[in-house]
Amino acid sequence: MFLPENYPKQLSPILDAYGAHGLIPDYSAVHFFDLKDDFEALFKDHSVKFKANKRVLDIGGRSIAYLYNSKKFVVESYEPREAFQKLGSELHGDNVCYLHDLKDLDFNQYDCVLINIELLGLEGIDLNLTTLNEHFSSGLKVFAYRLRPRHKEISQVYLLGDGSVCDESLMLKRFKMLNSHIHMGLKKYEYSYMDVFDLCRDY
Amino acid sequence: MFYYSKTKSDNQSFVMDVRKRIYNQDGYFVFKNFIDAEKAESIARRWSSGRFDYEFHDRFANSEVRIGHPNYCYHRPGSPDLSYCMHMWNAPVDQELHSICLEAQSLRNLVEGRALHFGTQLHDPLILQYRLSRTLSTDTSVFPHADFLEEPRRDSMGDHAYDPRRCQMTLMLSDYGTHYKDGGFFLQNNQDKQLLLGRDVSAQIGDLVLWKYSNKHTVTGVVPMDQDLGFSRVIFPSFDKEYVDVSA
Ligand SMILES: [Fe+2]
Repeated sequence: MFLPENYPKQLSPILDAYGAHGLIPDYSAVHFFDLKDDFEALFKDHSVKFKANKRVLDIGGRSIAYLYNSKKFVVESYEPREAFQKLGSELHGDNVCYLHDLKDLDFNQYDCVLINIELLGLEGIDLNLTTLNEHFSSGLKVFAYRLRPRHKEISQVYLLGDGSVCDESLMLKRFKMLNSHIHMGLKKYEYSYMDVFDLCRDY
Repeated sequence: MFYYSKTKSDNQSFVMDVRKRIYNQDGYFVFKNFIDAEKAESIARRWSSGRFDYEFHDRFANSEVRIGHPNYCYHRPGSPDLSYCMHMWNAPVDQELHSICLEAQSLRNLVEGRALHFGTQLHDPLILQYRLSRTLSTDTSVFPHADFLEEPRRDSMGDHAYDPRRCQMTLMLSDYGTHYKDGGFFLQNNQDKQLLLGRDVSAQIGDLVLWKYSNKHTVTGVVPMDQDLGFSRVIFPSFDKEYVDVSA
């Protein structure tokens, strides 16, 4: 894809891959490498301790930007949106393995769990997601995040661009269930292209 | 209605195919017979005759446009050339053309993954204008450029940050080889090849061409064969609400 001169050349095949799967080269796609930087900053800021093979459980991660060209990651991803699954497989090959559901997972095997909360706003998504926190143990690093759109969204129900309809109030209701173990108030951290909520049980 | 009456999966797979063609394969997609050829020609003829009892304002530069401004007309590159620019906040001059343009906008919205009527309401972050142009001059009327590719702009209609999602549309109101020849609208495809609509791409009168806005394009070299129609078409620019809404 044609890029402005000041953009990294490696972005071109990534945007091509979005198009090849019928997805829109949207704001978070254009900022793929900035999002990768954001995630790396998040891991650093919150002292995520990775083992030799960095094992991450990724939920609704779209393109899983942080995984790009990082051979040490082993990511298991739950991404019910088929086009994003195909995109992730194309971008990351065997470094990402897609899960059919979130049942019977041993959460202790992961160094980090990342949840894109837009998934909570989609109807028809497996509701196990909202009781996932029953499985979080003390010490497990869990973060929920929200990608920032180009234009601030003011509607309560809106399109995500891949054809899915996101219901903000459904998302917030489900998100409350997902963070019901946090009694001290939820902390939000602002990164350049996403907002992050710390769901670690022991903060 | 086009979008909500069919099953979602049928629609979505069609829309995804169009996206593949625009964003990945060709850089454009032609909706054949978007309107009938006879309809397209009658619209082009009534607009080229200049008989409307409607006063268009003198040209506003893109950067000068504000909500509430009147519709305007300019003559570029020469005096026989016409561009009628019509805003969403004014009553339609031509209700038929207006309806067709709104339908085209809906189609672009589906491809760009936006709400069906995005751009047609004053609270939208991007607000549509449709522009009916008739070119008779052979001189260049649109110099080669790409939009939303962070090229420096003297006359901006908003933020020109890189946005490969954005598409532009050309509704063909005349035919290459019948009403004009040799030049017209040139578009760089995704393989970096320059194509002339109507000659290198099958795009006839009444067809709607959706194309990737950040691919280079130019309008030049038109030799009119029909002195009323020449190269006639409608394009669909959008204005950034932040720029045009002085009350915000
Ligand atoms: Fe342009």
